[in-house]
Amino acid sequence: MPLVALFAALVASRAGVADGSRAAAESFDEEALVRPLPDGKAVFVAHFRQSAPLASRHFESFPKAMAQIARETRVAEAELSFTQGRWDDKRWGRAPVGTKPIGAELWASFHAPPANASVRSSATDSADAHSEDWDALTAHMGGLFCASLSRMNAREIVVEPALAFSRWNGARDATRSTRRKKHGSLPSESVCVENLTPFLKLLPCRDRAGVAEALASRTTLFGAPYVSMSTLVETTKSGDDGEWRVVLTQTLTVALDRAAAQETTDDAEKPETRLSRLLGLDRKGKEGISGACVAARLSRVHAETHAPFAAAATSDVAGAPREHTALCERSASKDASKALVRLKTWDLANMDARPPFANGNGFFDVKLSRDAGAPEPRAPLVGYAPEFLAERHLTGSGNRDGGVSIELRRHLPSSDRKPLDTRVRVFQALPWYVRVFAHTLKVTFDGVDANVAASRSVTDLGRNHFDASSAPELLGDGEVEGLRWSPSRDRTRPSVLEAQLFVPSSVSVVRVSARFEKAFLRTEEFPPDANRGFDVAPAVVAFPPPRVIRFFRNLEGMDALESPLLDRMEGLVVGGNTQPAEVPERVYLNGLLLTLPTPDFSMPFNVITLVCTAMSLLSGGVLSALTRRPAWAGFKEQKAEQKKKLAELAKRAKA
Amino acid sequence: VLDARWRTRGDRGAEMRLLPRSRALLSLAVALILAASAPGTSAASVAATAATADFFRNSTHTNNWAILVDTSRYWFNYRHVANTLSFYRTVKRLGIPDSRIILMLADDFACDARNAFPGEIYGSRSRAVNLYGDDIEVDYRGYEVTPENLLRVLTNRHPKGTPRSKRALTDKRSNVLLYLTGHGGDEFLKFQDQREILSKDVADALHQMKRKNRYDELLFIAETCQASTMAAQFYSPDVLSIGSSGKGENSLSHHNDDAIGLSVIDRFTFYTLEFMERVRGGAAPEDAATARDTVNDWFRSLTKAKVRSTAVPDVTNYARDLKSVRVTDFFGSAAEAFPRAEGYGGAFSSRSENEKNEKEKDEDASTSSRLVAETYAEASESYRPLEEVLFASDPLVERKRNGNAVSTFGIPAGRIAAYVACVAFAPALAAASRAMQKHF
Repeated sequence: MPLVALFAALVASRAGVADGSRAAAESFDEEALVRPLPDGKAVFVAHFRQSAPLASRHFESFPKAMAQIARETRVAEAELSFTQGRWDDKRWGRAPVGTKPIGAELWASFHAPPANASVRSSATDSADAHSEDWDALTAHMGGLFCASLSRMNAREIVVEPALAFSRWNGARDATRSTRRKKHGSLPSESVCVENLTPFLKLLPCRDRAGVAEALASRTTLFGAPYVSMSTLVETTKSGDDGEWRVVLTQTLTVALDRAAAQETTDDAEKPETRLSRLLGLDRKGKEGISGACVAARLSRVHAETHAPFAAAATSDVAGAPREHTALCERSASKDASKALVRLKTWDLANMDARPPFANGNGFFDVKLSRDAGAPEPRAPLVGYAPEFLAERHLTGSGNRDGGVSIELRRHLPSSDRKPLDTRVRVFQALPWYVRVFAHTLKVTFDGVDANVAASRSVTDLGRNHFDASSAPELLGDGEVEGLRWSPSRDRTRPSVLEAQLFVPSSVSVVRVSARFEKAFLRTEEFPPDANRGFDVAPAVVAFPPPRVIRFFRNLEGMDALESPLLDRMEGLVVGGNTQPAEVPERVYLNGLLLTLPTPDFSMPFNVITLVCTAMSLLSGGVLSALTRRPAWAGFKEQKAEQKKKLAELAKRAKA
Repeated sequence: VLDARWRTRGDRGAEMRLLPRSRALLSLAVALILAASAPGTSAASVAATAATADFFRNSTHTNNWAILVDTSRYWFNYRHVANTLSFYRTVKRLGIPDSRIILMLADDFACDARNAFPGEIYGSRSRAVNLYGDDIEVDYRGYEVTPENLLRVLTNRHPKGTPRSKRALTDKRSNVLLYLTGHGGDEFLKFQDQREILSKDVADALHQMKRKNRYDELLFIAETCQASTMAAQFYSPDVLSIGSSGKGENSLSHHNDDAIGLSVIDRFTFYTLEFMERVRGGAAPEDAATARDTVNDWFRSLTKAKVRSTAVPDVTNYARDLKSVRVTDFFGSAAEAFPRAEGYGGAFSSRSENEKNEKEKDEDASTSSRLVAETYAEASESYRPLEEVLFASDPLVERKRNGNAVSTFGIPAGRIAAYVACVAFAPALAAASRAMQKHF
């Protein structure tokens, strides 16, 4: 605890100037994005970003609990997500701001404890401090978000990924950095309303006003095929005045059933729906968003559409939208109009100027429609479609042996999409009770085995290995460029496989597989529903940042649109910023359900019963043999005879 | 087994047919006597006011906590979650905030793939009320619902770093509602079909709570088969308990919902809810005078004809007369305010000050301010510490201070009996061993 106090003091001394202009120092941006997806779906993203000086003692709108957690645990970056369902990227294309694995996932990195805080300064001690911080973080976050994150305390779940969770170009530093990230995943964690309640509690207006109003119908959110809420906390030092700031970014992504929410209009040829209907707000007696949250600096709703879809506001309460358009690059279609992506942005702040609730039309709502006559698209635009489709399977049968196989298949939805050389990173952590045989680790490129044993360690990767695709002329074949394998230790740590693969354009299928043996657990290690099976956390496949860039331009000249949400969107560049974010595209594979050899749990009771019976028979027999009086016939007579003889002897003695 | 159960239920029904009628007759007689004994309306109203005052003085708690536990996993135990959430809804409606409710749900049914109403839980076929609500907070869920964690919550002994939301931070003026539901038997309750908690475990935890000043009074409710046996081992004072069924009886579910495809609620909880829905949360005297919401009324409403098992209250460790215990002592949140001597002024001044201020409205400002100052002076003269105001000359508190069920040395009677038995038994054992030696 003195560590924490000192750290806080340190932070306070650096950022003590902030108190005067506190209100200005805090900011809150809220944004939403809706995008129609093929196959009768639509995606809605609600994005909230708050920031405040880390050392503040009082906050105007920033949730104090979050700042306290950030201060106490010295967190540099931490992201907690709760997800239900799996994003189907083959049918829906890339998710706007990335996908998350099923259940709960937490990854975090921590600042080093201050050097003068303690006499202990060796590397192992700092690692200990980090694991203490991690324990504190999981306990606090678990308490705040109504989740059983304390299970991540067990060393069987937490690992330190080097490659998959850093920026694509920053991975080189990450492999050598002592500031390792920690990662925990609970695939069996249930995700429900109780996780959303604290999520909304962190917002200044909760779900009463602003973009969060769109999340009013819990039934719709949790009945959706995919819903994910993530909370990202970052503490950074801003450049000029060296002030520490805490930034809280909350994102909720939900895939909605557009087809089911379609309205039956007079014009049957033009199926259309409203955002409020999609989100089930009509069940709650709402007709849309009633206005911006008063604490918000930015309050915006975006709609990203392409033919045959179109979006329009149902009323002009939010004013005319700003429009941007982009051509989705490398599109399959020769017809450019089909690949023209439109981005409309409404400013909810304009709603403050409207007349107060003129017969219920004061709500902001977006109408999504499909062109008359155009069929429902079955696949996403090529620009949205992923380059690879990834799946993971369990192989083998029986209670003892098994195997796991990750398959990456090049996704070529149309003939004129040209395959490219690329690099892929694979991350898989398996719990200790899955004992992987390292010698069976096999990587095949189109069925040809790569030499895994000869591959170098990830820490030895050169600078040129971190480009998205470099030096293809040197590397004609698929290759395992870097490998990190850390075997599991029973009841102490899981096994971790991290690999970077070079996939040339000629290769279409990459398979990573290994065989394993299932461990026997102790009775008390089985969960209550052991016969259901054991959830194995999803593996992660990271691709370079998407190279299909949708470069949005305003119709009337360049317009830099400030938008934290659009900044985070994959493969998208807005305004003057021409450098895409270096965030790799992470694809979480499906979770697995592993059946372990599970005993009949009534067996101990059978044994106890049997042993007790045997014991009682034995001891009862012995006891009765030792204590029972003989009761055979003639015993009394014999005794009487003895007495008589004794009496006679006595007589003789007297005589 | 099913046949046998039906038969017994039928027999019981025949037995019970007479009871309501006789009870009605009895209550009629009581009413007549009461009406006859009332001398006049004014006297009656005075008596009522006095009774109201007594009514409030009876309770010595200042805050309320609720610990609601569902111990059953698996979809077909939907009704147990619905039971727990029914109580959650009731205590929340009557004013206990989420921060003072520890809710433990062993499984997530609201977002179960089999639930036709995602994110919602219903406790009746009509589906009028979504028990899950829009802002539920579940403190322990899934694998975390274990006997160990329940005992930790009760005794407040947690591992380091346990967040506040997972702790019951009660004090010696807390009234605690402890509700357990699941599958159980004679003196045990199963947790997730894996572990079980014994009546003795809970009894010891409760005793530890009492010794550590963690509750003022505790209401223990068990809704399982043979539920009343869960309280059989309790020995701590000020614990009132009720089980949904007696020893050897099953607790039955109330009805099915065809859309959910399961029984949605148990009988005991259903009729408890039926009673509680009428209870108003207000502490106003007029509410108290009219409301039939004492614990006695509640227990009496749970007839065998309705519950189809014997809801057995256990008052052996409880000193107060159930007729004077309001259900809101446990289900509501104590919100009685006491004026501070120095006062807060303005909108926060107490009622008497408000009345005085009303009178002063016609007078000029200076007089009024002088009067207010005088009032404050009066108040500060009559100021007594809150403890004293609350608990002085209260026979109940006196009794509690002296200790009624715990002996002076803190050894419960049961244990003394056990010691005595051991001591008495020792010579007998010695005699037996001597006899054995003699024989050989």
